[in-house]
Amino acid sequence: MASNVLVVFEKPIYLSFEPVDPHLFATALGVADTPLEISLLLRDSAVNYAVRKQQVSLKILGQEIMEANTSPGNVLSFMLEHGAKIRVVSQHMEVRGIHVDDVIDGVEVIDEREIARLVREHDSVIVW
Amino acid sequence: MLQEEAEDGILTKKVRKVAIVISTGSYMREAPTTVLRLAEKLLERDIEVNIWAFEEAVTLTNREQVEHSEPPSLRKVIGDKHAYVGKFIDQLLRAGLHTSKLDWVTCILCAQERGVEHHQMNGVIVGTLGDLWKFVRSADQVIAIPAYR
Amino acid sequence: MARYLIVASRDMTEYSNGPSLSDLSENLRTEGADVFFFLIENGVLSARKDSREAIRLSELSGPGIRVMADDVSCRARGIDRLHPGIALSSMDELADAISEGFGNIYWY
Repeated sequence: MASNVLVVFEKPIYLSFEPVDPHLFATALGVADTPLEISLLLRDSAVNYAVRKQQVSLKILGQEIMEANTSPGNVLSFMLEHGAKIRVVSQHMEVRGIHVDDVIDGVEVIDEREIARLVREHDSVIVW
Repeated sequence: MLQEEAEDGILTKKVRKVAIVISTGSYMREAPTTVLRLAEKLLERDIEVNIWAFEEAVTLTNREQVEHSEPPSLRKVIGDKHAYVGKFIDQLLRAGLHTSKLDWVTCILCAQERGVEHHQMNGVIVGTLGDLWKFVRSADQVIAIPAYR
Repeated sequence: MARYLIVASRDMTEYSNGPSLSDLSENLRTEGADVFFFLIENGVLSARKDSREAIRLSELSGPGIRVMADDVSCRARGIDRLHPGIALSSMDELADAISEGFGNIYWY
């Protein structure tokens, strides 16, 4: 029986006609609606999910495709409010020009070497 | 091949027809959104657009797509429901009636594999691999979106 | 003069062959062509100021090679500072360029 789960995001998905990356909202549902302790690890290009001021909006033929007016950042904040821990890998941020100041409040910036500890400490790992 | 045209005695090249090949479905990939964005802009410029949908892209035009309600606990952050891709393809096909022409062809083999051959929306043609190469042969520009992983 | 369009829709950092797009651009320029290098979708992650690929792209940018980043993709990803040499662009600008014709379009 797993009680704590590490959910790993590697590749960000934007503007796919879902309100956000379906893996993000599936994870958010686990955080909000289940007794599981869910932690997120943002690595590789998915470190971008932790960036402030993501404005996901697009019109095709004059109509907005993103009706919910949300963003991955909003969903991360929602999960933080519901007790999730969210970590982002500093080396993967650095290579993409993302500074610590760019990161949403409450998201913890960690060293890449800590990934091994996280894998050890959780009962299950889901890599999306 | 670009066609050369004389305008006021000066030879200029004109793009009249663009073929777009796409192999990915939506909801987990942004590529179909990009194709719709680009098709809209090319049609506005009186350019004929031929889209050839391969593999998972044949599901983009499945007419059975519907809006669904989002889980109650997430509505605060992701809203009540969201738009589906087929609605925008349908509207682009209709826009093509009044601007330049848009043809949307889905690969019959891929549609049969996925059980969507008889579920394609109006205006979409279920075609063959031969149509792909006819599109490529007749296009001034070919854009092939890779289905990378 | 021949013109070529290279579109990067992936985060070039994630793929071992990502940097080869810069080599392709450079080789086309060396052969006398003009190159439009357009970043879109996760490709714009290489436009953010000080990112590793942005530094490489800005070194390429100049006579014969224009590097542009799609505005919608940048806004979605919270990219509000582009590396020097990379210009904010749009789907309209891409469609205008395609309508003028390219020798070929290489979509990555």
